[in-house]
Amino acid sequence: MSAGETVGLVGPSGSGKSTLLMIMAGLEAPSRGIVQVAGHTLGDLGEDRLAAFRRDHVGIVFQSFHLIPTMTAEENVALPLELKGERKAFEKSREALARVGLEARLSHYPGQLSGGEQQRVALARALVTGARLLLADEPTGNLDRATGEEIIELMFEVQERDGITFVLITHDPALAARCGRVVHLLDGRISAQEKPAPETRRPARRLVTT
Amino acid sequence: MSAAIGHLATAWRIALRELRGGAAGFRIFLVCLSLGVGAIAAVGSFSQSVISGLIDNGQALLGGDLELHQHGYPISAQARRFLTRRGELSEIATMRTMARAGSGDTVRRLVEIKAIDDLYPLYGALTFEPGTDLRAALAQRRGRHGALVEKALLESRGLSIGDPVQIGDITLEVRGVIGIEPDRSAAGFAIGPRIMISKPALNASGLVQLGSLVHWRYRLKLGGGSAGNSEIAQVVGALDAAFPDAGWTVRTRANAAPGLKRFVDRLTLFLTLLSFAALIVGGVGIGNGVKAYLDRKTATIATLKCIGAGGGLIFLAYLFQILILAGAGILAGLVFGALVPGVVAMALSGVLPVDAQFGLYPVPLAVAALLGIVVAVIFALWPLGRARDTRPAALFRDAVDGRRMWPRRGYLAGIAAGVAVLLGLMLVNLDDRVIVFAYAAGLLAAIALLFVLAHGLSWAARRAPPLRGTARRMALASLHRPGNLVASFVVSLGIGLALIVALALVDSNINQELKRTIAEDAPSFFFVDIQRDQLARFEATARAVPGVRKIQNVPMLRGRIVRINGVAPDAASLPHNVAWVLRGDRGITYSATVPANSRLTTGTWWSADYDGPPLVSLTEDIAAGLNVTLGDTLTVNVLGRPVVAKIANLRTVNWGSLSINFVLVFSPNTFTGAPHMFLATASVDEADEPALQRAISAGFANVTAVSVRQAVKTVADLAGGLLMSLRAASGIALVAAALVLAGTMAAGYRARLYDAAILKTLGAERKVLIRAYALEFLVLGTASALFAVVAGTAAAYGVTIAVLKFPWAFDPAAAGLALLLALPVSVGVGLLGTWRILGRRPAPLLRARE
Repeated sequence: MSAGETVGLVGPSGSGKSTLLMIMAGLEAPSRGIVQVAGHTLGDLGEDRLAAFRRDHVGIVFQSFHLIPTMTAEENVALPLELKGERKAFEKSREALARVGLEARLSHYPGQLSGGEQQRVALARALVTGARLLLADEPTGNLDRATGEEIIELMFEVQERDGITFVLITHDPALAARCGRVVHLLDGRISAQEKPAPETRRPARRLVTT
Repeated sequence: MSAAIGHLATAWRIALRELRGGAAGFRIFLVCLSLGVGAIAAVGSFSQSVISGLIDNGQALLGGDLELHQHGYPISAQARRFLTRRGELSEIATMRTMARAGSGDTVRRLVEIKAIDDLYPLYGALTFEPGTDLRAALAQRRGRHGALVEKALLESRGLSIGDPVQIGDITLEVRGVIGIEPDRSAAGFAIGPRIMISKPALNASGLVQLGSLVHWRYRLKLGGGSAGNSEIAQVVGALDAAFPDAGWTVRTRANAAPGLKRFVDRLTLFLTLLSFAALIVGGVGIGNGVKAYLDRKTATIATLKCIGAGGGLIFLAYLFQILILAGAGILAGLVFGALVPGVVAMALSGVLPVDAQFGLYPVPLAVAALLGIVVAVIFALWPLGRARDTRPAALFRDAVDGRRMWPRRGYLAGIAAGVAVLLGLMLVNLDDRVIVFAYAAGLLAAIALLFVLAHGLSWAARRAPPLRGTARRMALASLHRPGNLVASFVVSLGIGLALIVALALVDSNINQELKRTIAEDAPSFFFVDIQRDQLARFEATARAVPGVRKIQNVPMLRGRIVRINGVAPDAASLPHNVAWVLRGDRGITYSATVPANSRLTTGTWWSADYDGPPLVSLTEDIAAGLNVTLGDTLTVNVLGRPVVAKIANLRTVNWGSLSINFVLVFSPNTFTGAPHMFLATASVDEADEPALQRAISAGFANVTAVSVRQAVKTVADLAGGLLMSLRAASGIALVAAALVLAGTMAAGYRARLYDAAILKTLGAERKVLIRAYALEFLVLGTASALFAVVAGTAAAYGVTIAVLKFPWAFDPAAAGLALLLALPVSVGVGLLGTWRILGRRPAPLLRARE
């Protein structure tokens, strides 16, 4: 996977999509082989170095958002920066939330936000440290169709604008086809790979102002 | 450095944000912690307030800046000159004797005489009604000396002011009722009511004979009342140097009531240990609360890890939350602990011999807080250590992490360090190391055993053959399925019940011992101060009373060990069970033969006509404690004369017989010619006790009768009061156990709720569920009860044999009754916690899980 590439991971339940994602994030260790991300060999890093690696290089978006319920949107997004010891954590958090259109929701708790808004917060949190690798595990699975599309548009826009590497797990073939490459998994192995035609990759409409 | 601070600051901020979710699951955690800390703080504050009362009122309690106390004879003129040169000297004499109301009264009553001089009291004020002029009240008028008496004497004899009271050879006139006697408690344990008279009245009574049991007390007021402690110490040092072999004991205002202080210290020790057990039982609830909380936080912890938080940071963030909550619980406990002494004081006003000084005592509060924090951290470390290792993968699927994960070694080391800190805190704060160590070892062993028992139960349930019946199968399954309640149920209930059983057994052993001593050949009366020339007539008079079975007499002197092998002993360096022998003077005797109730173990008894250098026989345990053996010498000050005696043999004594026993028995030639009194015991049928008392009091005005029945009753009442306070403290442990049970139920609540919903959906009736729960609690309750009987018996055995030194008997009724009372209460509380589950309708629950 090269820098700036978009990859869609598809396959039936239990085929190993989430496991692969976790291995890429350094959350699980592979039983065999070597994982290299952004110049780091993950197998060489200890627990705390892996945490720092994720903080600096990887952003993850989950199907069920996984915001911290006791923290406001602003605090949720600021958290990775705080972990990094960043002085302007809250300033940057506000900027990131504004970029996903949530400048009016800064002091809301996750419970006070809609599903789509929660996922936008999660996306802002994933990218606020300047991560160059965005991993998304069925990010629209818990959202209605329209909201899901908004989120996907947002992700692709950000990817395009910042040129980050983007790995998307999805059950939706049309969504996968938006990626530069689609990898099919079956029983833990790559069963097929394809490169969708460029025209399928065009976004439907612009949602975010930059 | 700054990175580390930044790390801490981030963890702290995360902790504060996480606490916005509220302390909902922490009710049990908070109550358990405040209860344990509160009990310890209350005991510590109360004891401190009494001790502060003793110190602040030291001068008034003691009656001077320092006091010389000597039995049997006044101090020498030389010593008196020494004292008067240094300050104002007041001389007091106290003794027990028999008093009767006028000459028509046939029954004499034991009273405590106190003869005062013109300077009394040097400190504090004596109050009495009516009047204020002490000298006038005690003066001789119309041929009668005046007396101030305690109200109890007037009430028991139907006397009023102006009536005559006879002591010894004289008749006194009651002139008033004593209100406050400032130095009352310093004189020690009082059996009878006080009669206060003047020195000339005592001299006229004929009660003071050489060798009679008079306590002479010399109080000194130094520097007009403004002497500092160093000045007092200087005088004490000079006294010791000038009179190295004196028979007196010296006390200063700093140690005005050593008996009371020892009693308070002892009571504090046992109450603290019991309260600590409550804190430990509560610790199980603390651990459960932390675990339940962290279980709910799994997603948050995993999320934090995904966005780059290290394990250390997560540990710190959650440790801070626990500490903040623990702080709240501890604060509540401290407020309770600080207030309790005031409430107890109101209840006890008049019972306590001193006014306790109520106020905030930071040291006991700080100790209680520290104990609370350490216990909270110890019990939180295990779940915290496991939370640190929460796998971020938990976010990706609803994975049931069934493997039993041990926390990393660092956390286990932390727990061990915490236990060491606890032990250290206890050792620093409680003075009896042996008891603290035995207690700690017992508690640790009990907890370990209970965990083994819990895991054994789960293991057996897992391997048990399938049972018939849904309820039984469910009950069996709930004993071993993941997240079962067995360990916390059995540990908390086991310790709580074991304490109750132990206390019930100690109680029953004390009662049995008291009954046994009365029932068997214990004498009915002790007669004190019989003069040598009265002895034959005394025996004849007593034997003439019908129902009298046995009369025994022994010579009785007072003596104090001043040197061991020529060297002054250091009582402070000796254990409690030996040091008392050196503390002040003790009763001593001589005998031509081995005394009854004694058995010779080493050496030989002297011949009846032995006439060599003085020999002495010593009890074996005291000889071992003083580290002396045959051939060593003891120097004993008797009636002001040092007597050097060689140890000729060692004995064991059956102290339980309540007959006359002495640690030191000398060869008869040692005291040839020394004036002394005799002590006699008489065994008489209960119905004839008053007749004997009448006969003796009619014929022997100077002889004091002490009824054993009365004395044992006094001791039993005292023991009863003590046991009540101990029961209250162990009751707190049981309350903690019940709370932990309720918390345990709450912890398993969610799993049960869901199970019950599914079972109901599948058609299970409510009674099947109830039967399953009841069966589960029956098994757990029975296991805990069995443990409680074994552990409680072991603890009671240890206390009875090693601390009380009573013979041991197991009382199944006492143990059974304790269990019968304690078990249903605690399990009932647990079941109440589960009851709510059964009422829930299944549908909403099943929806919520979709």
